[in-house]
Amino acid sequence: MADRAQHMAKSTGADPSKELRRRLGRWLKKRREDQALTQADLANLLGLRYYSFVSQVENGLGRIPQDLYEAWAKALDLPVQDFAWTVLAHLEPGLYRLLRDQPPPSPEDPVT
Amino acid sequence: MANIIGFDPHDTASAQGAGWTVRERAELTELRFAMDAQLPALEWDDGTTDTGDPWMVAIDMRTDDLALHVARIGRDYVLLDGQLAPMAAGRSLKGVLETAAEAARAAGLMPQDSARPGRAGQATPALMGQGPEGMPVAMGSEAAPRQATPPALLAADARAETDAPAQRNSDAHHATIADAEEGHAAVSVLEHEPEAERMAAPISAALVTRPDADTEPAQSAPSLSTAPDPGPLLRAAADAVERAPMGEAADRPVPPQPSAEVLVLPIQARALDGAELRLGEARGQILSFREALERGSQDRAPASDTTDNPAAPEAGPDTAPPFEVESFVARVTLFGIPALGQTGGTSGVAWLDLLARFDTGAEASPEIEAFVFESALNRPDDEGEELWFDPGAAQTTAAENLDPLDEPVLIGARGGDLSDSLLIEDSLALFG
Repeated sequence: MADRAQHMAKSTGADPSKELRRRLGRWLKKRREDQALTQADLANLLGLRYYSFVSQVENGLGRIPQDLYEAWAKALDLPVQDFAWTVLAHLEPGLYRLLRDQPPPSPEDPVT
Repeated sequence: MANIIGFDPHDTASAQGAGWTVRERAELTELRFAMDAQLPALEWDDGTTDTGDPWMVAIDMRTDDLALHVARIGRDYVLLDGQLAPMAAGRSLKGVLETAAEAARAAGLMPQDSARPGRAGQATPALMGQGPEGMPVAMGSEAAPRQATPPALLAADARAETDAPAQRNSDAHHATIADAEEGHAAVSVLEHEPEAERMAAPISAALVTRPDADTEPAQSAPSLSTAPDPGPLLRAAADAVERAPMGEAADRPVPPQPSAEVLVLPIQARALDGAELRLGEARGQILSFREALERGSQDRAPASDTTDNPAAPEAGPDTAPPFEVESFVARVTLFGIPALGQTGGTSGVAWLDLLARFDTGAEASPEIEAFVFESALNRPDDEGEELWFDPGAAQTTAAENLDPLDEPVLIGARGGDLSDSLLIEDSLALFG
């Protein structure tokens, strides 16, 4: 079992980009819950017909459409720019580094 | 946190709030496998909303963009494209998925002949059987088009016997069997482990998928009885199907029939270490999954006594009939699925089969064995190499953050007369 550790690492899903997305999802979920919003509530505020997309994003899957950034930020009572930077830091950390000339915020504290 | 999912493959409405049902998963898996064959960059995941409505998504890993989103919201199914635009909606998942499949075919994302798996002429792999010395074996089909072979189960209590000579892993046996009661054909494939000299032990279960009842009436499917020389495994498959008609599990009275040799259930779970098992009123716990894996590395270890284990659940007056895990054996078996081998040189899907032995602790109750099949979460780099996943990582993951498996987890029980004291419910808790 020479490559057991490698297999284990792979099988446990240690993909950095995925982990960033999951962290973003958890952060979004927490912010939503802090606002006492259900996923359906948030979907209504975002104008989404089907609220399961909110659950999907909060599970770290897919991207938030850019045209929803502003509404999503407002729904979570966050400054739009901060929200956008946070999303960018987790979905496009390389681009974030280039634009801000600084590393993305720590995954443990994604709020900028 | 217990996560109990009832086995109710036919009643979607009753499963609201409990994630995808078995039948839904089977239908979703059909779509998934068909699309995976054409778009190997797709990654699938699923989950439930905060109110329990299930969803499944396909993510294009090249761009990390959403490619497809399927959800059941209330009693309605909806399918969204990558821009969250509804592609189809309705009360029938099959209808919604058909719409998606047609759109995918029209867009060239699926072959024109990628009909629903389970149709006549297409094969579906059996998920488990029983090899020599009673060892459960993972089974698959090589001859069948892999993109159309979803590992889904819609029947239970199947049992078939054969003494067919062993054949290579690439050999497949499948049958299209008329199911007069349901008015459609059922397809079953049985295959046995390549190491076995002979398949002398009974085949304990057969996978049966539900083909499109609307377009594939039984009359159009060749009946096994008219098929030329179907062979022993094919006959065994037919026998298994006949003994496990669609829907029987859903209609099974409580307690189940004592003749039930195999009870197969689905569940979504990732954490197994410390998992709680419930067999009727009896409860037990998998005590050491890591140890099981260590044993698994030596293939199958002999049963051992865990009475010295202080963590073993004790028999209590309120937990009759009690049982405890006597031994736990795990191993990983691979079988190739070429359709999934297009990504990064991967060559197959890993199936983890776990064998747990339970002792009811009552003289009148013979020992039974339960075994769990779970699709592993990864794919091998090297064909034939054993795979491992880290049970410790699963252990440290909060239950609410656990991702549901892509495939159903199956648990079966076999052994002596199960009717005396052990009620096996159609549910299983894997989260302690």
